[in-house]
Amino acid sequence: MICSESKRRYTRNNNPVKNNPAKLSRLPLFTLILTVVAALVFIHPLSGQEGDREGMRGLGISETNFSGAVGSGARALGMGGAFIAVADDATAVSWNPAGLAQLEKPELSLVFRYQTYHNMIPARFAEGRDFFGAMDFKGTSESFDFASFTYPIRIGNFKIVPQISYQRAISFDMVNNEKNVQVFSSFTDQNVPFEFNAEQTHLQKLTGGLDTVSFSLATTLFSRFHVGVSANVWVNGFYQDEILTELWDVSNSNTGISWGSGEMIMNFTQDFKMSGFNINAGLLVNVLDNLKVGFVYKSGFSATIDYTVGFSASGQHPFFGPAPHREFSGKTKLHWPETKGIGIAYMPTDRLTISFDLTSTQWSESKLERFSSVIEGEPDQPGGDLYFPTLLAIDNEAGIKQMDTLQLRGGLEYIFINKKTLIPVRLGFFADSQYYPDAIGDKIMFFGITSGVGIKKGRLAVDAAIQYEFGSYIESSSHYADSQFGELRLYLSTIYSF
Amino acid sequence: MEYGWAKDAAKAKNWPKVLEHINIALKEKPTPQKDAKTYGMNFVDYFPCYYRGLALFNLSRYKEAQKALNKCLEYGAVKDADDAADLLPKIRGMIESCKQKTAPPPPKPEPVQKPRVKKDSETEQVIRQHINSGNNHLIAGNLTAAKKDFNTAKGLIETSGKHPDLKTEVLSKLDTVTKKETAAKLLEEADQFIRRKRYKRAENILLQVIAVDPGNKLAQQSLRIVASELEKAKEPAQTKPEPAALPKSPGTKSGDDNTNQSVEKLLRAGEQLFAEGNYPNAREKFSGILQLQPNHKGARQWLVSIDYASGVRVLNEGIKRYFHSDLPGSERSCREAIRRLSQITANQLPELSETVKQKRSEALVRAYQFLAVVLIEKYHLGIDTTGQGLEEARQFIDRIYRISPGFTLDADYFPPKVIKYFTPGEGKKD
Repeated sequence: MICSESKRRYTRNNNPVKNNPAKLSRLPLFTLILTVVAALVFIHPLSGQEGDREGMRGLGISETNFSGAVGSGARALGMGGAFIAVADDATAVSWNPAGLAQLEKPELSLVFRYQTYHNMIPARFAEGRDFFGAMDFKGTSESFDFASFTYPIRIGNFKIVPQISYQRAISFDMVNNEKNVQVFSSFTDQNVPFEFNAEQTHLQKLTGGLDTVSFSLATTLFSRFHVGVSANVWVNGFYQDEILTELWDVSNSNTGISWGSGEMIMNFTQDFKMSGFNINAGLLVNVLDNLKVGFVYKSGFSATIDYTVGFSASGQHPFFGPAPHREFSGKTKLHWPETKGIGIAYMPTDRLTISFDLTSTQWSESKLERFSSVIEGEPDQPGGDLYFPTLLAIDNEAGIKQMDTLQLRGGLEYIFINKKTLIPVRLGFFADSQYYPDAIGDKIMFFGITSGVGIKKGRLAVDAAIQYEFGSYIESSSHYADSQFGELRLYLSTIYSF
Repeated sequence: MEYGWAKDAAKAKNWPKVLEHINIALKEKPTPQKDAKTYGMNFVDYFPCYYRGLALFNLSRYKEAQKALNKCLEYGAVKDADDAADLLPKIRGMIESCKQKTAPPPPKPEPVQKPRVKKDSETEQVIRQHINSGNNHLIAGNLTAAKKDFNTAKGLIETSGKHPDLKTEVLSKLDTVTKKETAAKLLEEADQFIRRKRYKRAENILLQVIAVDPGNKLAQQSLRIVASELEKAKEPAQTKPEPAALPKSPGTKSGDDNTNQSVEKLLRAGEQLFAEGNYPNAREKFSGILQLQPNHKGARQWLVSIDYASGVRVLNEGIKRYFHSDLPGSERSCREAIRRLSQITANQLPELSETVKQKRSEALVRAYQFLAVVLIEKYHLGIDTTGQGLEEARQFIDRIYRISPGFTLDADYFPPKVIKYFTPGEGKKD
């Protein structure tokens, strides 16, 4: 009997790979080799640096808060932020611009963020005999975190994916309204013990943030390699209006007799406007059908800051005199660090994704030039550079500089499908080393757990994520009690596909 | 990505583009799947065979469309699709349309005036040829072939409505064949009982054989043997004799019982090996028969059958290799197939039935066809730089048309650059 398989169209020349096992095995091997080479180029060892540092009362934010160094989107953050090798939705540009090449339909996405933080500083001694009472700082902020529009374009059998996006890299939107009781004990020059009690009302309003407007482009080469680049224009800035009202009294610690009382009102304003430019580049490789490896590089840059700072103090205070309102303006430079990251994503089934990322950021290179002279009202004088706002009230006698950081993130996503409704659930974690050490020079590590859920029906997807970051650190070298840090962040994203 | 583009092309009714993208998609992911992930949180029901079938259907390539759509239905995933209620009727409807469009046209009605029929003598000659062939097979013990020849003769007689004498002869022969078939089955059964020493049962069956076929010498001989065994069983026996086996099969002319027995064994063994497809060992057995009895027709016919069957097997392999883009392998197999089919010499051909002769010719034509196609493709791909292969291909094509003047190459399965060589006069313009 003649072979029935002869009944086929002459498409035999269209199937060389399927019928040529040698060719098929060479393709993933080549991809694997390229992936390993790229990994060796991208990742370099982290080294901490020590040196001089100025401490400053800060904003209660950790490095994880800087989505400009990490990324945005409730789906990604619900997976612990391990998204470099996933990056397959419209938020891809903030994680790995190469991931945009995977999009096939136009998408519009929006991300909102709400966060609340809480930082507790225990009571401690300073300089042997001076005593500071415990302090409790809380704050909230909400902001519009990310927005983008993506439109894949087909030219023949070639696809390019352009995107325009906006991201709030650092959000300064915050309102602090708190009351504290400050207790300070010391001795006069005559060795008489006294106690300073103050009831502080602290109203701090910050608005604005450091934003990026990005233009991105991505494409696919040889069906397994996705490459992307984004050009980011940094804009905006922040405005801070801080009013500290202190009702004080000083008394003899032994007798309790009051030596005096009064009220001082201090007002501090800052207005910073920034402009800068940097480039993000990414590579995403489909090593196997269910395994992807991603690399991302976000270049550091120098941004110009136009600032106006104002200060005034009125009333009486035993330690400070009244000060007339002063305001001065000037220019300085902000040096923003570069970030490198590598990620891996494994999909054992179509519905399950497991991913891990490792990201390093060169915070040791970032600073605001001559800031000390700025805040001291001597803008034209050379002054110490300010490293980025640290956690509150770290008293660092050793003068330790900021350090490069390393973030490890991991997460998973499982999608339940009921007819055409998709319900994803996500879990994740991260370990986040901070960019400055604690009061005794130890590295500060914060940890985070994340969880997320979403729903997608038709063209609309809505995702929510909750992220809790926590940690402790030694705040004072003269008192080894741990300061406790905790920050809760909620994200809500929506993506609409056309 | 390719699947999405194929669906978009289907919406735009750009069927060639659908095929182009679906073929690439099938290379990357051949298995259909419900809820297959594309990217992000996007899942699709991945049924590439449906879109392939749809495109082929709209391009009027109905056979291929039917095959693709049938394949689609084989996969359970289609039945689980969310829009299965719409999809399945569409698929089945297209399959039905394909069947209708590819069904052979209805036979043309008989013309009012009947065309000139063959002369009686010509028909009678053909009938006699079949009867003679059937008789040969009957003598050789090949009852299946004999039955076929007699049935063919019967059909011709009934069509002509004449030759009553030949009809009687054919019916008688068919009756003989039937009896011999029954007798052969009963003899086999009897042989089993004899081997198990159940002589009484064997005797009864042998008596039935003689009732059906009184002239069956094998049954008569077996009956004598069984009877003697039964007699012996009644006497007190000192030693038990060896159980008797059936004597030599009829149709052999040698008077040597041992030789006949050996021939019989070799014949059965050879038939078994042929049925299993073990042609080399079967050839050994039948060649062994010819060494004992050089004129053994059955063995000669079996050897011819082996040449034909092994040639066809190698030819099928060659065709498969061609469609898997293995040109060198296909060439080797087609050449080997031609060698084996050509081993059936002119002397052996008269011993074959018309059916087998026809099949052998078809197989040879097919082998020449694929070998010519392979040589032409090698020339056009630049593998054959001298053009000798192309010249050889032309010679094979000439042979094809000598064997089968009405031959046409199926344009659906070969590219135009090959088809032109099979068009008389066109292929020689290169």
